[in-house]
Amino acid sequence: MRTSTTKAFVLRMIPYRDADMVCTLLTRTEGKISAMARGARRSKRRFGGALDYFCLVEAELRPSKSGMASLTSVNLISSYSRITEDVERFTAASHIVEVSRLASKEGDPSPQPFDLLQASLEALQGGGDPKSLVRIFQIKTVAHLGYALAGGHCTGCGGPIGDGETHLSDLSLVCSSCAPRMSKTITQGAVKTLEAAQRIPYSRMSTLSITPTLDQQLGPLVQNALTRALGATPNSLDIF
Amino acid sequence: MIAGPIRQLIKEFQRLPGVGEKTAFRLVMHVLESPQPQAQALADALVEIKQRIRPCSRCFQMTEEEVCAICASPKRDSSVICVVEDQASLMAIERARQFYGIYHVLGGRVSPMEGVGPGDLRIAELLKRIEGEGVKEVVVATNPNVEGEATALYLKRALEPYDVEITRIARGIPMGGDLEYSDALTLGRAFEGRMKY
Ligand SMILES: [Zn+2]
Ligand SMILES: [Zn+2]
Repeated sequence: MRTSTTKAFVLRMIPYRDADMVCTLLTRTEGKISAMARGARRSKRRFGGALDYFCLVEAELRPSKSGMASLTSVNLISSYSRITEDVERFTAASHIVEVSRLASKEGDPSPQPFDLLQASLEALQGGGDPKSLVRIFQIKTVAHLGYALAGGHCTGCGGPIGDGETHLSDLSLVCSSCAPRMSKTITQGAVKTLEAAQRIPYSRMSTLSITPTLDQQLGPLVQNALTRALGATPNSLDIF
Repeated sequence: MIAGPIRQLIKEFQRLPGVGEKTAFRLVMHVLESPQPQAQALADALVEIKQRIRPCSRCFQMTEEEVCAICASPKRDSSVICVVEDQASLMAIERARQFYGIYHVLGGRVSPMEGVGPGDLRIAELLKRIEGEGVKEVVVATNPNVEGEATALYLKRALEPYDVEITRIARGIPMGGDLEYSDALTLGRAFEGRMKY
């Protein structure tokens, strides 16, 4: 079968047999792809140091009729190597890659997961605040999965939500009368930040910083929403 | 219907890394067709390895003794500790016969995606050794990939308060490699790690 080339990020690498690697890649136009990189752990010639996390590569793939595609070579387009020069940036980038893997689907032509991952890594590489970037990434991911956290109106009755009356119920904001008992309220400042994080273009993510006080409110709510939207708890979640 | 013992052994082989059902079945057939003493030797070896092998109380490499042969050897320089991720790295360095110090096996690398944090590695044990064993130099020999680099970073941070020299093995063009085929990342690191000649 014919080979094809595509831009991709590595989402996961699992050693297989003596020298091979099963790679999960995120492509821009075909979503997530699993591919076998034969000899990847031995041959530096075909894969160089480019088959790794936080690298944008041009991947050459050969589909297989019977099963997993073969990754025949990779060419480095850009490496976000400054990420591994700092523990906080590395941890943030690892979380972003793991969540990208859980949130993306095979055969999905939507470019959003790829673009969001690329923009997040670029922002981390460029020195953006890791904590804020992780939170914005999480909020945007929850929105991509179909659960926009903030819309300005109560998702229960459709009415406007008064100041100090906003509750987060499951994955949406509701007013006091629609809120289930024991649900938490969040401040208008936090709602505004949620909205801003959802709206801000990828290229400007590092310009939005979330203060520690706001993040104390948003953190648990967003993480809970993320876990529900993904239907899984990321291994790296408890770090944030 | 497949006989119970065959099914059981397939299941056991499948637990091994990289072994799928087909490979497991092939291995079972191989064992079935091999002479009795050969199968017995395999079974004995499996039991023995679990009964007799344990981590060295100092460096945590796998050994039969309380303290491994490398740690116990008077020929090794115990003031230089080489920190590796796992037994496989240690064995690769030993094969090269270039390092005459002793080791410390971390038991993995930092990988937030897999839920492995610095607290899951034997970093505290390393610091204890540095306090008590008169160590002068720590050579960080984690793998030259993203997670290995990050692990090295955590080690550097943990080691900085101590009075030891911290070095990192040079990264760059592998022997047998070709400049023409090296990617920018590897070439960049090779220049970063250049040495006086
Ligand atoms: Zn309402
Ligand atoms: Zn030892």
